[in-house]
Amino acid sequence: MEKVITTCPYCGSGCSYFLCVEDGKVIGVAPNRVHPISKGRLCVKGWNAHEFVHHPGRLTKPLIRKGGNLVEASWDEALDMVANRLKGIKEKSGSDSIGVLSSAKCTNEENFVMMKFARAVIGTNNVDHCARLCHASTVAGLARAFGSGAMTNSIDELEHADVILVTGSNTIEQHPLIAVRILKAVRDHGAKLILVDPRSIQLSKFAVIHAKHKPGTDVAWINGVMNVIINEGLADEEFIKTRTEGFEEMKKLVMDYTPEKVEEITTIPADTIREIARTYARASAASIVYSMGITQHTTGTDNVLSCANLAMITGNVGKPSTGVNPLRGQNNVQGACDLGALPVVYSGYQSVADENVRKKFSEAWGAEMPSAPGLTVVEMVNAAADGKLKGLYIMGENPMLSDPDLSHVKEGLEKLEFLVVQDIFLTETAELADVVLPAESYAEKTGTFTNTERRVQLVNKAVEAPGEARPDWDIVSDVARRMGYDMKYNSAEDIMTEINKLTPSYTGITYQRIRENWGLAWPCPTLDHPGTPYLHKDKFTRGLGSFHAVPFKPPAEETDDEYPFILSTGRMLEHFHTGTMTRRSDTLDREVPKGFIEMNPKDADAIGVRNNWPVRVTTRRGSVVTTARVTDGIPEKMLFMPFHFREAAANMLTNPALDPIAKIPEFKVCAATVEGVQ
Amino acid sequence: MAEKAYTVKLGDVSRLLGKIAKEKYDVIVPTTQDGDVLYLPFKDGMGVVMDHGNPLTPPKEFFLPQTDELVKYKKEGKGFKAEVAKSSLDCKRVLFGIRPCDVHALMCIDLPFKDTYDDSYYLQKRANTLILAMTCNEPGDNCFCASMGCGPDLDDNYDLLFTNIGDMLYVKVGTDEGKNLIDTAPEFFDEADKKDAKARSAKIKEVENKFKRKLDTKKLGRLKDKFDDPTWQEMADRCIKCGGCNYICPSCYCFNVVDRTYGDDGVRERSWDGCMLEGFTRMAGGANPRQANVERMKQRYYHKLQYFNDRYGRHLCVGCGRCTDVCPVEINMVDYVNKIIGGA
Amino acid sequence: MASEYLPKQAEILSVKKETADTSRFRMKFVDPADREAFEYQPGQFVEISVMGAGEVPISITSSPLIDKGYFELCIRDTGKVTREIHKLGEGDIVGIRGPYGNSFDIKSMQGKEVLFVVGGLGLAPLRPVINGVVASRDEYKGVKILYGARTPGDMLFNEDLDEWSKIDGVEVLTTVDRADDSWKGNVGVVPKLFEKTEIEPKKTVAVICGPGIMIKFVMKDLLGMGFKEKDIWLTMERHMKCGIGKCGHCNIGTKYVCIDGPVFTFDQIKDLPDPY
Ligand SMILES: Cc1cc2nc3c(=O)[nH]c(=O)nc-3n(C[C@H](O)[C@H](O)[C@H](O)COP(=O)(O)OP(=O)(O)OC[C@H]3O[C@@H](n4cnc5c(N)ncnc54)[C@H](O)[C@@H]3O)c2cc1C
Ligand code: SF4
Ligand code: SF4
Ligand code: SF4
Ligand code: FES
Repeated sequence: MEKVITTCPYCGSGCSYFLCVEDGKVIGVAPNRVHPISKGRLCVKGWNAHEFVHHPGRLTKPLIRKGGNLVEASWDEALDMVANRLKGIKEKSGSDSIGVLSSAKCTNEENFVMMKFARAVIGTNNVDHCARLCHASTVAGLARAFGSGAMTNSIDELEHADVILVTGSNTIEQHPLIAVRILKAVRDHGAKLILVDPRSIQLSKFAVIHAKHKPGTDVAWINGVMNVIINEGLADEEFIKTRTEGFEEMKKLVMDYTPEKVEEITTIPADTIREIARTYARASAASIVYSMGITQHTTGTDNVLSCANLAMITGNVGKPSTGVNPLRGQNNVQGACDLGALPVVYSGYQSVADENVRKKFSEAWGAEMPSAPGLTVVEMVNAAADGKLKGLYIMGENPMLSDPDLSHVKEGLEKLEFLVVQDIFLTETAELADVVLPAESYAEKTGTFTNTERRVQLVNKAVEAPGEARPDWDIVSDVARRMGYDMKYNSAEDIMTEINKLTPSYTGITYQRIRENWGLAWPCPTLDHPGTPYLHKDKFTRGLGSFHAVPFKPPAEETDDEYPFILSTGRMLEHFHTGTMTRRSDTLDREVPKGFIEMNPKDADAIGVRNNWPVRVTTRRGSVVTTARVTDGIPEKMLFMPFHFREAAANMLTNPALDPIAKIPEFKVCAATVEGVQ
Repeated sequence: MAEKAYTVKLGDVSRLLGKIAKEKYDVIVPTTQDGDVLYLPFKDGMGVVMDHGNPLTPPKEFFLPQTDELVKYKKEGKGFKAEVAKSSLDCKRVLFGIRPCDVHALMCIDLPFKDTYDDSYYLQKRANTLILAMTCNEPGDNCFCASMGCGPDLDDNYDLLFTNIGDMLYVKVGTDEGKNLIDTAPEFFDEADKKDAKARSAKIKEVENKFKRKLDTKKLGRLKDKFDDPTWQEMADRCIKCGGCNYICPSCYCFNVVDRTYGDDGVRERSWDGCMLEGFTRMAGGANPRQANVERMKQRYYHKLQYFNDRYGRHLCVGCGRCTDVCPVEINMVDYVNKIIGGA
Repeated sequence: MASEYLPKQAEILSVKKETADTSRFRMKFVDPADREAFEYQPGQFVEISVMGAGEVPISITSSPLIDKGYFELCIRDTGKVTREIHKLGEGDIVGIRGPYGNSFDIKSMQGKEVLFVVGGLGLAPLRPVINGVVASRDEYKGVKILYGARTPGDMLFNEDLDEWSKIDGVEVLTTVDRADDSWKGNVGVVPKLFEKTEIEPKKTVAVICGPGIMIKFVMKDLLGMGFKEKDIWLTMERHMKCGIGKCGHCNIGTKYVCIDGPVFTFDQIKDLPDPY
């Protein structure tokens, strides 16, 4: 028996535990009491995070499509094919006809290598990953408001906030080990929890105020709350004057949003709006926690800007236990963004548009850096469907379940001249590939993940990979070499050294330091810098915090007679993302073996359906059959569906309409109809 | 048994274990890794921690591993061949430093695992493991073994029992096998004198007074009338269904069984399971006798503190406090149960 | 090392489709020694496995008195393992452990009337009990079999029901939840059949098996009629893994359904927290 400390591959909380290894197999998980986030505790996913590692379905050899079927091939054959086909497309149709999807599941090192591959080897900025689908609006919005698109404060600080405003986050299910801080603050420190969420969730029981708004009306309720704050003299004048700009313009707009008007838009009673305003504004330290209920809208960036407005108007930024805290979904979605797996920035959010930055990277990498901004995830799919994108290299992502409007995604992927997918299992997306490359899981490799509070932590190799699987970074650099680009690393740590050199915010983050300190939070610009648990202390990253006047805009698709229900999609405790790992974990898949749709008992009655009965859900995009979960936790005329289940894929239904700035799709609102089936 | 007692110098323990490991034994010890105390196989030069709080992961992992192979099979034509997986322990093993509460926990698991049918996988590991227990000097914040009669001292069910009495360990001998072990390395042992014995009693007394938590076990009988107490719901509302309290409990023994087939070869293995998980009792078609979390919460507590006792004559909780340590939402077993039974 | 978890090989001799989703599998152990050792009583179950899919508990529906040299299981396709079993046919080999669990003490019922109240698949475990009772029909005051299924097509063991109804002193009443054109009989839930027959609670023993919801209503009626708690026998169903009192899945209160049951009299379980 051996116990190897590592970092959880699931949510962005960033728990740590030991993998227990016996005879070369991981047989279990043992918590570690001294880890600063998990403190000896885990959620059910963490407790079972060993189960998928030796699943019989693991990819063990490269696969190549021959005569319509994926058949086993040697690494040489597969990699030569990938290199030649990508080179061919590049030569024939140009660099920008190729796209690369990096991965929020992979390590920082692998994301760095992948974005380097796109820019230095392919010569395109067409690199993105599924952060686009969860928090692109956070990155865009908070960068505009504060200058840095990440959680402003650290997880532990939540315990000491005296008001916590949670909106668009079912925190107990999606970030369990962060939610427990909220529960502790409420029970042990008398904090007040304000919840704004259309559904009753487990947190509701702990909230002093639970306002249920109509989905897609976030800007309106936040403007309403600010209206009250201004009118009742609750704003932090001093903070506004010394630390921010743009207040007057925003004030002008907000004056229109009286609580009564907001009630009409959101269905939240005017007095509740007032109560939220008073409770939040009177706190000495108030923290806003949000997640995809805020970001996944066509107004996602607006919603984020509104949250930032609210924090600034009360001076709740740059102090302990305050701030605007987006909870990032995946284990390393923060890191994948940090390391530049985005179409407009290099690692550390260094802009592609900046000539000096381009020059720096050109010199470091010995290749001319492309200057045109690249395509985002959904744009790549569209470009593929239009025939403009011809080659796509996907590492550890599964757009065939995670992206909106799956029929359209499928159409796009099938139109590609060449699709290569690198993963640990044969995902729904890999099934469509021309070449499938077997990668190592987190238990088999070394690297780092950056959790939602910007803490960079180590992942350690515990067991050998199955069959011939290789680490993602190793595969990508092999393809690069075969395309004639000299990319050679001896280890993940080797890559980190290059990251240190090229990325100011990661310069002080070395393996040795994070091993000794349970990670470091960026920005960490020098080797003796202690890391930065909370941002914007005396000064916003961008200088002055910027208020934005944000008018309310309705969602892209509103209900009508044909589609009278609002359909919202999301996650749940036992499963993770597209279920690639959790559905192959015996315990987790037993816990929730099939998909479902939540609906209100009155709606169920109206269509003659009872709990556990099959129903068909239809939108303008498509139709799926799933099981009804009848609960009064969801308001009438609203439906909720988790997207983890391939048999009942919620994203057959969702609307690919995009936020104009962040290009995030509107997963949280579309119009649907539902009926019973025999 | 009026056996002779011995002492070992603290500074000699590592060398003593090293010598035992060189004999025919695998030796498991508490040691520090990545900041926390864990049980791991002893290796030369490994630091053995002696004055530690109890490791969070209990020694049940060496008797009922988190995943353990039961049957190996091979598919053949229309049928299969199957054989008992070699997950059992065929060599002798020494478990050093196991705490009295955890010894009691093994005594708990022995009961169902010998009831009607033998669980040979577990029982063989039990039979082949020498228990070199160590009384506790520093009860943890959530420990209440004293309330459960499972610590800080241990009356029987050990081969050797150590107590840290300052610069040496006092050693009581529980079995002949334990005595044999001493005889394999006599150079490390001195005979204990009266003064040492006194030091031991004083130590145990001192520890008994250190417990911060006490479960009012005299009132546990009241539980049977508390099935509808609203506190259960309060606990269930908080619980985030992690299953940790089951997994980490040294006396929880429930398991799941799954098959894994690689090509034609496969293995049927069992893994820790828990009654706090919703799927634990769900039946095909979806019916679930313990659908609501509050029902599962009650199952755990009643099984621990009433049902098991009614069936086997002892409680299934040894007061180690781990379920409280590991609970992300800090549902404190002692506080809540005392509240429910009106205890102190 | 010996292991109670090691399945023995049994060969499927035949498969008879009973309803759309339920079939009867006749099988025998491959090894004659296993055949020899396999002695069971009405009410007991086996753990049947398809390697790779898993293992599930299934009642033995054959009768040790009648069925010699083989045994039978009646299995509904409801999930992962049962679906795999349904893919098998003559000559295929499955794994069997058991027999496990306790059984019906039909001797103790002698001198009384035996009232069987059965829903759906519940007839599978009760079939050997009924066969045991009717085999020595004279020892009992009478036999009543009240059986309900969802639809006429869901009725199991139609031939047996026919045979039993022909025996003197055996009354068979059937009902369906939803009738179709072919159905001329009773429509409604099983407890409704109580109206159609005379029951003397003091002189009768009731044996119940069916879905939880049915049991709940039947229990209420029987107790209302004045049945003694120890005169009501039922079998309990629980999620099971090991079948031998180890894995804890079937635990209710102080009982393990797999080794203390699945057969209980009502007085044994009435104080359990959530019996059905
Ligand atoms: C004592 C007893 C006798 C039974 N007799 C019969 C019978 O004669 N005929 C018949 O068709 N069915 C019988 N059942 C029910 C049968 O065991 C389940 O239908 C079967 O386990 C479903 O397994 P699955 O893998 O197909 O379904 P899934 O839903 O995939 O179940 C997964 C696992 O959960 C457990 N499980 C789920 N449902 C049950 C259940 N109802 N009972 C026990 N374990 C369950 C099993 O371990 C199973 O492998 C009996 C159950 C018990 C407890
Ligand atoms: S999924 Fe999230 S909360 Fe759960 S153990 Fe992993 S990191 Fe922690
Ligand atoms: S129930 Fe809690 S305190 Fe009792 S033995 Fe288990 S883990 Fe320890
Ligand atoms: S450890 Fe706590 S949160 Fe987890 S299942 Fe147990 S009671 Fe619930
Ligand atoms: S089925 Fe395992 S204890 Fe009963």
